[in-house]
Amino acid sequence: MIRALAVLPLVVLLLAPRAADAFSTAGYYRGNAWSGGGDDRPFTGARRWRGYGCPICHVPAADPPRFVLDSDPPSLAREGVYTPEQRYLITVAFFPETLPTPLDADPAIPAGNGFAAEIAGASGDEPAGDLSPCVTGIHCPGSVDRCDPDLCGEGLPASTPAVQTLADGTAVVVEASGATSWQFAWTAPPRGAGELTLHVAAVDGNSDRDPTGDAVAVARISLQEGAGAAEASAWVLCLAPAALRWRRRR
Amino acid sequence: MKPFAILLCGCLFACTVENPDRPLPELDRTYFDRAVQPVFARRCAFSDCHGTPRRFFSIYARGRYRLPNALDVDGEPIGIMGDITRRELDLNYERALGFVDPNEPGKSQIVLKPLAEEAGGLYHRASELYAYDLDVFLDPSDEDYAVLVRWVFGGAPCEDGGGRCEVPERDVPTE
Repeated sequence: MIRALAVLPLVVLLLAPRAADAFSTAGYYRGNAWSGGGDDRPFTGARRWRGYGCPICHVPAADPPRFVLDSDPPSLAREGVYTPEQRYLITVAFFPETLPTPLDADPAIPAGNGFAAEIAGASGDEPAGDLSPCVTGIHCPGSVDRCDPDLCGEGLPASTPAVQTLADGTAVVVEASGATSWQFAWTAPPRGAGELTLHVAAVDGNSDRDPTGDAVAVARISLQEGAGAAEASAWVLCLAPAALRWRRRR
Repeated sequence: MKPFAILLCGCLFACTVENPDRPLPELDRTYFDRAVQPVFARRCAFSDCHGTPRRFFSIYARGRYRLPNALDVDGEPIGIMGDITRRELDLNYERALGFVDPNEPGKSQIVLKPLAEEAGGLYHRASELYAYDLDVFLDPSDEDYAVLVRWVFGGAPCEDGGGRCEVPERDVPTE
């Protein structure tokens, strides 16, 4: 881990201060709005959600979290290039955690960290490719769960709760917890899909079980269609150039 | 001195203008509770939008903004995920009525503000706050938008079965 950090250029992904409604359980995303749920909206900041991300509900009281994107193969996150039909493992990790869980926090209460992500097609409205959680749940030493057992030992130092997809499979969300890194898989669409956009929204919760006082960030990353063959697998921390736009309001 | 005198006269004149209170319109309360409130919760009540006391039109909704110090039927604090209370629904209903023009329902702010200007709506700051510069309703074909329109025109009671009354009658608080 230390070696990786020293060698690789880190790119800090966007920071959109302000909080929105992140939900403490993935089930809240699916619940109907009148009972407090999200009506199957992941709040990733994508166009089909009017650009709404976590900050639409989470009221930030801390600096926005810095998070890094990781991918295997690495070109997706590092160069913003995808190979048609290639399967990628994507890691989202706070780096570092802005609001660590207090030592005296009730262990029964989730710390409130989480993220949501989706990849949109050229129109901005239609999802592209296939997202999947790490359903195989490989448990590596250090309580790090990975999609791929070959990645054990090179990961980030945090437990990884189950990543889930929305009912229609178009976005991934997680159970809020004290975790600081998560991983999911994405298979790129067939050739000809053109430019895609990866949307990620993340909440670094302050452990108070409400949407205030959190650190919140939203990012958009442009992904260009590449023509090359699949790359060799490698586990690296990398930063993707984030085409981000965030607005400070008020 | 002359501008000041003109301003003073203007103020005095303004004070004599009739501006009587207008009674609130009476619109279907059941339809509001079971169909309009879910739309508010889904499209409007985020804390960065109308789920805040900072907005003139603030909206209470479960999982979003809650009436401060509200208690449930057992006298316990409702918490953010507690059931919506009758008081919260009453306040939402009354505030919403304030944005309805009973004489020209189609010109009510509650239906024109959230509609994109390109589709005939009025300026709405929500269209500037997030990426993509999109308003809540891009065009009148949005089913949630249709609920608001039905309500301000006094139609589609839940008994008709066509008004998208999402909340079961049993889940509407009575006190």
